[in-house]
Amino acid sequence: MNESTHNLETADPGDPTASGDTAADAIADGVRHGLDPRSIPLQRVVGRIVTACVSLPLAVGVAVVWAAAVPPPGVVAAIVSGWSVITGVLGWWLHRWAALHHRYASYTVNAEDIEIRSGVVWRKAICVPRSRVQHTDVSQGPLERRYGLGTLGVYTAGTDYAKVSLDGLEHETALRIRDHLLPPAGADAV
Amino acid sequence: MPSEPATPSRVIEHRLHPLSIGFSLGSQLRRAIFPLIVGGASANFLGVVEMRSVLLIGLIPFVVGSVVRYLTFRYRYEEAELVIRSGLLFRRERHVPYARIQNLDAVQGVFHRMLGVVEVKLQTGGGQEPEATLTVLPLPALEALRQRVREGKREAVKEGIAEDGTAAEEAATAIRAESPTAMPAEPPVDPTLAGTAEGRTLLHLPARELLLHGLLQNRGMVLIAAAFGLAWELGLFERASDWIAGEQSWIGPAVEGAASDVVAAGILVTVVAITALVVAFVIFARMLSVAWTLVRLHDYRVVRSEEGLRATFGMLTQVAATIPLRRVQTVTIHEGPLQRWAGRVAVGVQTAGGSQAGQSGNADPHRHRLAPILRRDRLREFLREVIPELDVPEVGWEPVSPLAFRRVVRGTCFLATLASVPLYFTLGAWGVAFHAAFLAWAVFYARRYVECLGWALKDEMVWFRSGWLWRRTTIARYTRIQVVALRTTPIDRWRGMARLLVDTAGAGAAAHKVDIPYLPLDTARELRTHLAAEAARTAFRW
Repeated sequence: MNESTHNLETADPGDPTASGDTAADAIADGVRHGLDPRSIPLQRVVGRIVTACVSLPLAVGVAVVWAAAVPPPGVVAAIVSGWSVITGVLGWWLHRWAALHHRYASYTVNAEDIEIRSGVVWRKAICVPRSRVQHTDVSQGPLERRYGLGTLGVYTAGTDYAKVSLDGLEHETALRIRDHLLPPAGADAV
Repeated sequence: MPSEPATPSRVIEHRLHPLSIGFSLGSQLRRAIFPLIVGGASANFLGVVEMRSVLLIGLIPFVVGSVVRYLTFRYRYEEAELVIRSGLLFRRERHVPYARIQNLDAVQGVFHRMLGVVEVKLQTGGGQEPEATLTVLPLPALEALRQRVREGKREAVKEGIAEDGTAAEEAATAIRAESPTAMPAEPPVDPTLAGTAEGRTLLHLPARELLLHGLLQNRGMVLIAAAFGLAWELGLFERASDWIAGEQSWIGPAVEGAASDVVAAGILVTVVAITALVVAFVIFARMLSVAWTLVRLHDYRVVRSEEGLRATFGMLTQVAATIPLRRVQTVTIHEGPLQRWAGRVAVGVQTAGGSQAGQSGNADPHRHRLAPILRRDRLREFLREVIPELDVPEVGWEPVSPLAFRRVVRGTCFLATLASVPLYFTLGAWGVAFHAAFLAWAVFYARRYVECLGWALKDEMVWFRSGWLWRRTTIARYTRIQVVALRTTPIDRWRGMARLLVDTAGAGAAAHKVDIPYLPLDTARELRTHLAAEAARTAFRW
């Protein structure tokens, strides 16, 4: 019984089976859903932060070199244009990537399993049977909170896929999927 | 000191054997000695300090650590769990439920045996490291621990039946299946490590089989490489070269004279002499391998007992490793070219106990080779003992996509071409001949490799085999499937293929898994749906 303590803590210990069923049926529709459209602007903000983290240190480095040894104007032009190309391409690519990621990521909640698809170039469809879910969690970072999104984490006893996570869900949806995935009480006997 | 194990001693805390200080120091030193020697030698070389003082100062933290560990380490038996407390500054209290213990391994080296103690490793489902390593316990304490674990498991199963009959039934039958000869009233107690008093022997390797095993697997090279490394570290080579080529030595001139005689005798003699040297080296390596196997796997025995499967082996270091049967996640059959020629296979099992390749435990290397060498005609019988549901005379293998050969052959031909580019530069026209030979081999290999890829669904299990010369076959029961993943690369999508991975617990990074490449997309989708549905239908138990 110790195994299920994780689940019991998050579930309502009063009536775990009765409350689950009606809500579960609604969420387990077997239809392939895309992620919440708000995940695109969220990913774009993340992309801008990443771009800034790469390009600002580069700019500082360039400035330090400049101050140390005053280079000829041709070199200056080359360095500055190189820096702006790197920043521009990275920013543009991450901006585009948010939409691409959103286009290829999806999830399907069935009565007995959940399938999570992701990846743009190397695509994968990960199918976790409900009976193999060890525990689940829903997390929300500061940015996600602003956009009302959440990340669902599904933990199994597997090796390569010990944790399968799905981000870009509406927080409310993530909670409902989590509740659906919780195993019914008394399912594990050892 | 442990008291009588039979009485429920809830408040009595046990300590390790006082010799623990020595043993834990020893095992830590074995890991730290090379960095220390290297550090000491380089400090010595730089003239900073003497090597001896570096070694002495370096040892202090280990000595202090070992003493503190011994003084703070306590364990006690609660009703349903083992509680282990340790640590001085950072206190740690671990609760290990008896029912969650996957494996209980006992290791006894030469010194352990002389002093009547044993090192015990407990593993649960979580993580790669052993949950608890008890270095070292007196022998009676090991027996007490074993009995606790056995009883704890039986208790857990009973409770399960009382609470939920249907769900626990399967687990109960699994336990019963494990213990055909068990007396529930009075569990048999074996006073020795070997544990031959109970259970049925499934596999016993006599010296002849071990000899064959040593010949078939190439352990010798590994040992030679290790010895070489050791000699290098200790600077033995310099001394040896002094000894051989020094002024008073007779060896150097003698070897030199013999070599010049051989070269003077003509090219044929030279070639023969070099070949003879190579052959002698290979024979030497194999003999080393045989000797190593004979010592390490001496009296290898797999016994099926109440606890599950127990493998015991070793001449100098004796190991007793226990694998509960229902904790077996996947079974892998290994066949190398030499083994196939000799009509032998090896069988490995993966448990969720976190005993993976790459982990340097004494009990480890044979966890994943439960049967290091087994006659081919006994394979079926042996497998059926490990997986009771298995009842297959022969599996009908399904091939992968017919387009797979084309994809593989492109890869191998590319590699062959890459490998022959330098030959064009060095050999000129002869490079063409080598290139052609490489390409022929590439095509042949790709054909064989794709032919050997196969999968099958049978008896509620998924089978996957791969490899031409070194072939591995892995079997995973539907009840052990955790996650089913379908993966595609851009080339996969272009060719209408997909790769299907069946994830199980306890599959190490280097382990052979059910990871089927080059499946036609439709087949892969069907298979995914089928396996996921089968997994969802059943409940997973550790």
